[in-house]
Amino acid sequence: MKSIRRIVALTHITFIEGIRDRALYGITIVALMMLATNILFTNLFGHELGKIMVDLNLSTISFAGLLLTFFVNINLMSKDIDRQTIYCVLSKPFSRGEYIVGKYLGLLSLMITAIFLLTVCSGGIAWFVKNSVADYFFRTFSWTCYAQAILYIMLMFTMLNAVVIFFSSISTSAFLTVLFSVATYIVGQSIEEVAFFFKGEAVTAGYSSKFNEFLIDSFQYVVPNFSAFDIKTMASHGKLMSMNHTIALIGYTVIYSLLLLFFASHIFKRREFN
Amino acid sequence: MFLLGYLTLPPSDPVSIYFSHISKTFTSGLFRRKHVNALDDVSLRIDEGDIFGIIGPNGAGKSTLIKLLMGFIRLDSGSITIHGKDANDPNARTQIGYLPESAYYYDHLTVLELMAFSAITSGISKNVISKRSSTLLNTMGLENAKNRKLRSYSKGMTQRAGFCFALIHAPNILILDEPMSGLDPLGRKMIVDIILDLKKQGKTILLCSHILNDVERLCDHIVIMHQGKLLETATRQDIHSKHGAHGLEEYFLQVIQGTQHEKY
Amino acid sequence: MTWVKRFIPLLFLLAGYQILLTNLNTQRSLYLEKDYINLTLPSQFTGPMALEFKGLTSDILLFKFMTFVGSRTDKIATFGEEQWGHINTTLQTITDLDPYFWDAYLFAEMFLALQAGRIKDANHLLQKARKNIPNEWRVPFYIGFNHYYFQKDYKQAAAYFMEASKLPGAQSYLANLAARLTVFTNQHQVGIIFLEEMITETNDNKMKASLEKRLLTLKMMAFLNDKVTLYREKMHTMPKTLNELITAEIISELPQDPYGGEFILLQNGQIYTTSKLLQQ
Repeated sequence: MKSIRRIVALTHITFIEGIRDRALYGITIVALMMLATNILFTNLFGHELGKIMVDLNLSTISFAGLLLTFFVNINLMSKDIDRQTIYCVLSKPFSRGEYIVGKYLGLLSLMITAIFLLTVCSGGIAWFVKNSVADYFFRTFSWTCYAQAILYIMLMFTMLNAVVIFFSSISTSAFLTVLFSVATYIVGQSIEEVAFFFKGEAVTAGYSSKFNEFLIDSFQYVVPNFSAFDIKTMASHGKLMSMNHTIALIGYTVIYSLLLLFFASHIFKRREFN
Repeated sequence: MFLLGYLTLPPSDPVSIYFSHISKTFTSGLFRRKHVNALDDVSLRIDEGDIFGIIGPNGAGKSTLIKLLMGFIRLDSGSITIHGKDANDPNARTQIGYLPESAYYYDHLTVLELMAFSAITSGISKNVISKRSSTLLNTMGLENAKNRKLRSYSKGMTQRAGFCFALIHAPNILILDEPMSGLDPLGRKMIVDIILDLKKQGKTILLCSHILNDVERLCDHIVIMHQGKLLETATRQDIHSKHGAHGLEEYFLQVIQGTQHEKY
Repeated sequence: MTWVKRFIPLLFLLAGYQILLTNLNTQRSLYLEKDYINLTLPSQFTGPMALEFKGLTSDILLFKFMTFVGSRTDKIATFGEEQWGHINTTLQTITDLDPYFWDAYLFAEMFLALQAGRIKDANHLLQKARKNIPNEWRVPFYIGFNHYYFQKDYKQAAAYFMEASKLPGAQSYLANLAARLTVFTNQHQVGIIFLEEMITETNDNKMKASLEKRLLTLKMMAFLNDKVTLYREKMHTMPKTLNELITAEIISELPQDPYGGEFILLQNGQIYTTSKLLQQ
C-alpha cells in the first residue's frame, strides 16, 4: 500500500538522520566505556558477582536509552520544525498522521539498534566475566532473565518515545518537550509506589481522603506506569516474570502508545507551519 | 489591466490549480492578540501548461499563498483545488514538485537519499529512480558531490539539490519559491533552461520571485500582489505591448504605487 | 629563546599545582580520618529517588558500606551508637531496595550480631531475608544461632535449626544439633560451628583473621570444658580451679587465651575468660 511505502521511507530517513548524528556516537561510546568499567566494579564485590554484573549492565543500557530518547530523539523531532526540514516531508503526499507514525517508527528503529548493540556488548562482557570466575559467583545468573529484562527495557522505550512524540506535537521548543518528557518519566517511575503507599499506609494512618484517593486514581489512569517495566532486581537474582505479566505488559504498551500517537496526530493536524 | 472574466470560469476545465476566494489571517500573542491579514479574498486560476508568476513586495502574501496550497497552513475561508482535488487531500501533492524559499534539507542525508525519498513517496518505483537520479544529477552538475552530506554543500549546490528533490518524480506541477536565490549567473542560466524545457514538456509552473527580469522572461501570466490582495493579472504579451520588452518593472511600480485605486 | 619564555609560566603553574594539590589531599585525609559519618537516607527517600535503578543503588550502598567498615576494622570495637545506627540504617536501606541481596544479610549477621551484639537489629534484617530468600539455609541458621548464643532462648534456637536443616544445602549435623540443644552439654560447640561457617563466607583477610582468633578461643574453651567433664568422671567431683586439671594430669598445661585474658572456671562449671574482648 502506498501509505506504508511512504511511512517506511520516512522511517528510513529519520533513522539515517539519527544514526549519523554525532550525539549518538557520543552516547554509544560512553555506554561502551561504562560497560567496560563494569568489569572492574564487579570484582570489588564479595559474593553475588552475577547480581552486580546484571545490575550494572542493565542500568547502563537503560541510562544510554534515556540519553538517546531525551537528547537525540527529541532533537530529531524539534529540528524538523525549527530547521524547516519538515517541508521536505509535508510537501509530499503525506498526511499528518502518516508523518507522526513515520517519525515514531524512525525513533523506535534508533532505539532498537542502540539497545541491540549494547545488549550484544554487555552480554559478551557478562559471558567473559562469568567464565573467568568460579560458578558459585554466578549461581543465580540466568540468560533467560537477562533477555527478559532487555525486552522489558525495549518495551519501556517504545512507550517513552510515544510520550516524546506526543509532547513534540504540542510544544514549540525542544526544551519544553524534554522538560515534559522527563517529568512524565519520573512521575511514571514513582506513581505505582506512591499509589501503593496511599492505598496502604495512608489509609491506616488516617490521612487519606476521598479527594486524595480520586487524585491518585486519576493519575494512575493517565500517567504511564513505567515502574512495571523495571525488572532489573528480579533479573539480577535470576527470577523470571510470568508469561501472563509479560503479555499484559505488551498489551498495555501497545494500547497506550497507540492512544498517544492518536492524540499526537490529531493535535499535529491542527498545527500550522509558517 | 485585468481579466476578470477569466477568473470566473468554473473549475472543470483543464485547470491545474484553482484558488477560490482565499482569506487568511494570522493571530499572534496570548493576551493582546495581534491580527495580520495575510490574504484577503484572493482568487487565481492557473491553467495546465502555464508558467505563472507571482510578484509583489515583501509581506504581500506570496509565501502564504504557496503555504496554503501546500497544506502547511489552514485556510480561513475559500478553497484551493489541484487537478480537481482539494488541497487538503495529501494525494493532491503527488503531482507537485516543491522548491521551498529557504533551502533547508536534512543535514546528514546525501542528495541521492533525498531524491530517493522524494521519488518513493510519490510512488515512483526503485529501478526508475536510479536512472533518473544520475541524469538529474548530471544536469544539475552535482554528479561529483552525490555522496556528500547535504550540510557540506554551498548555497548554490543546496539550491540545485532542491531542484533534484523537486524534479525526480517528474511532477506535472512545479511550485518554485524564489528558485534563483543563491545561484551564480551560470546556475541561473541552468535553471532558466530547465524551466523552459519543462514548459515544452507541458508542465505547469508556479513561480514566485523578486527578480523581475526572470519573471518577465519566463512567465506567461503574471500576478501582482500587495498587502494580501491580488492587484493585477496580466499576460506577458499585454505587458510587453504596453510597457515594452523590459517593462515589467515599470508596470510593477505603477501598480504598487497606485494602490489607492480600487481593484474592481 | 622564545620557547623557554613560554615554558616558564607553565612550569610555575605546574609547580604550584603540585604544592596545592598535595596540600588539599592532606587536608582531605585529616577530614576523612575523623570518622566522618556517611549519611544513608532511609529507603523511603532512596527508593523513589533511585527510580528504576534501585538494584544499582543497593550495590553502590553496599560498596560504600564495605569501604566504610573495611577501612575501620581495627576500630570496630570502639564503634558507638552513632556508627552502629548508621550501619543498621544502611543495611536496612540496601535490603529495602533489593530484598534478595544476600551479601547485605550476611553483613548484618557478621557485624550487627557478631561484632556489636545488636541482636534485635540483626534478627529484624534476617527475618526480612527469611521472607525473601526462603531457600537459603544460612538464614534460619543465623537466626537460630542468635537465639541460642545471645538470647539464650534454646527452644526457639532449636526450632530455627530444625527449619534450616530442611533447606537445600544445609549441613547434615543441623538436625542433630536441633535435637541436642535442649540438653545443655557444650555451648561452645554451636559457636564453633557458626564461626567456621562465617569464616568460609568471608573474603576479607582482616575479618577472617579476627574470626579465626575468636574461633581458636572458643575451641580452647570447648577443649577445657571437655577436660572438666573428664575430671568429673574421674574424680567424681567438680574441680575448683583449672589448675586442678593439671595436677590431676588430665592436661599438661593451660592454653593461652589469644585475647590475653585468663581462663577461669566458674562455680556453675562454665569456662570463662577474663579478657573483655571476647563478647559473650
